[in-house]
Amino acid sequence: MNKYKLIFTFLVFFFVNAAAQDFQLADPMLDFDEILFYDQFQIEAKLDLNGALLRYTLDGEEVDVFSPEINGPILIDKDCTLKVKAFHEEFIASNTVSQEFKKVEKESKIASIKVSSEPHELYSSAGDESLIDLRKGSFNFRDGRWLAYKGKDVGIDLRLKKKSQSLDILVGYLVDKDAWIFGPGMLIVSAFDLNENIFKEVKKIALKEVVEDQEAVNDFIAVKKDLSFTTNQVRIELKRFKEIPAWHPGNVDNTWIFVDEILLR
Amino acid sequence: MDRRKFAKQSLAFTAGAMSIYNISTVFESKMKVDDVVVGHGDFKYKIDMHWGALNAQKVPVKNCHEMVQDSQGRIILLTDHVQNNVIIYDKSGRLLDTWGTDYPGAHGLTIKNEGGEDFLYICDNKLHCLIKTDLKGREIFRIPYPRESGLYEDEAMYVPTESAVAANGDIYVSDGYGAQYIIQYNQKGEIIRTFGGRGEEAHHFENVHGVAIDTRSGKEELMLTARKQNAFKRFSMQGELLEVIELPGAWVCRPVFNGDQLYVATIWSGNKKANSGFVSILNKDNKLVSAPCGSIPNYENGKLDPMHQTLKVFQHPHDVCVDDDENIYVAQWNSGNVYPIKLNRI
Repeated sequence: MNKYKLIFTFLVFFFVNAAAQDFQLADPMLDFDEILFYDQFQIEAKLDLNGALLRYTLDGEEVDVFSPEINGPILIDKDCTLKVKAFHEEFIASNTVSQEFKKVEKESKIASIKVSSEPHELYSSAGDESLIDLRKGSFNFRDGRWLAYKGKDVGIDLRLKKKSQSLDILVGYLVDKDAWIFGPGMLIVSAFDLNENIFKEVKKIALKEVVEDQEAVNDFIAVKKDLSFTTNQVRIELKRFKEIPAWHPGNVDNTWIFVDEILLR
Repeated sequence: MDRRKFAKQSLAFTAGAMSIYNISTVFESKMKVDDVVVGHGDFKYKIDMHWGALNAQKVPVKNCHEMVQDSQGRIILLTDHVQNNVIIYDKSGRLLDTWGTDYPGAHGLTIKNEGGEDFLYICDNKLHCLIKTDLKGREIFRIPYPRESGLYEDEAMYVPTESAVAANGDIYVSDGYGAQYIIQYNQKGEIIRTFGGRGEEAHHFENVHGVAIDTRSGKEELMLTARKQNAFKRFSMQGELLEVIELPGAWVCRPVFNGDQLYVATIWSGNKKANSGFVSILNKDNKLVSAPCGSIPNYENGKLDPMHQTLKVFQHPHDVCVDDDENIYVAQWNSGNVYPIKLNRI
């Protein structure tokens, strides 16, 4: 038994080390302008290398060799998480590239929005309303869509068009350590109880601190909850990380919060 | 049960066997490093990942910023490691010499043969100056920040990244991490003119990271990097914009000329994604003809398709040196203190 175990260990060691000499395919490129859409839209994915084959899933499952092949634009008509991975007979498969897409209604459920803090002058977009214009900021933090706040927390008050006994809110944010953007450290959502005339905390979410090898994140924090009361106002508080992580060269500076978009569904 | 579900369940039952299968498949089918060919068209290469590897305890590197070949055929590497800022190799990667302990921001390296002797021009972005040395490391002069230009309140605003020397001895320095000007000096270090700068117009720059003299047309012109704008900008020697060469998706470093080609290291592709670099080669018409470890060059209606990395060979290529055999040496920034990678032309 020990002999077979030894041979097995040797073979694994040999093959793994042989494989470690190989090159890996780069991450496929996803080409899209928006991650919010009304009806349906198309996304292109590519890796321009002869012999490379792209496969994908839309249900959040990991991509494998049985996943559908990409032979043209991918049609999306509902909320989904697109995952794409490249395969090639001569190289190690790529990492999986993942992106969420959200279907939104053309008419917003939000009647008005008021942000308590003044955004930084470089990242003030079109003001508070840009948070509910159904155009989410991209990975390019200078794309003119983001509202950004340096060294301060952010309070956002929403007035709803209709009274509601449940909340389904998405708060968009950006993390990009190369741009010294570390995102909010905590999200607190409160709703106004129309009977008691007070705001009640509905959800508190602490976000993980950014780690050294973390890729940029352009995502939503989701809060979905049934309420025991009726509300027509929602308050969102984004608390900043108090400092940039010690491992980062920007450790001496204040932290940024980049926010866009707020969706109520 | 559909084919996919059946296949998945079968795999679950044979997980152990599959592990062995997967490993052996990798072994059997994946191409070995030495056999991999990268690049396109007439410009294809095999990869030597071990060229120039040294004992990191004795000859360490930090960021490998730039490389040049001297008139003796030796390959000279500039790093910001102050134990040995300059490392001199032969073409096989054998260590010949090291020197330099005073250049913490050693970034730009240009070589110029003047009267039969090679001289180096080093841009140090922490010392905020240009330093001229001989090949033994003896300093000839330093040009400090261009106070006389009136464009700079203090030296901290001036963060030079590259220099180029014209046939008449004029020196052009690009302030790639500073105020984005190009400062033209005569050979005495006196300012002749400044141009470029930050702004929205075509002749302005965002990250004027590199400058080189382009003589492919038979006369001298300047080729300047607009890295953040994913472009090169061709200027006259008097600072007039002649052409913008768009390279969408490619965060290009300094242009390097060899024969009729322009070679360049692309440090990031796409949206400045980490570890997404590759190398690009443009022909005499400044059209992309090959991109080792990058996407297939393709133009639609005269416009280049966005470029991207295809194979993870490089992390952050920062410069290329093309030797007299047209092999390429790739120096990398922020890539785990690695020594250069060589691409052998085939």
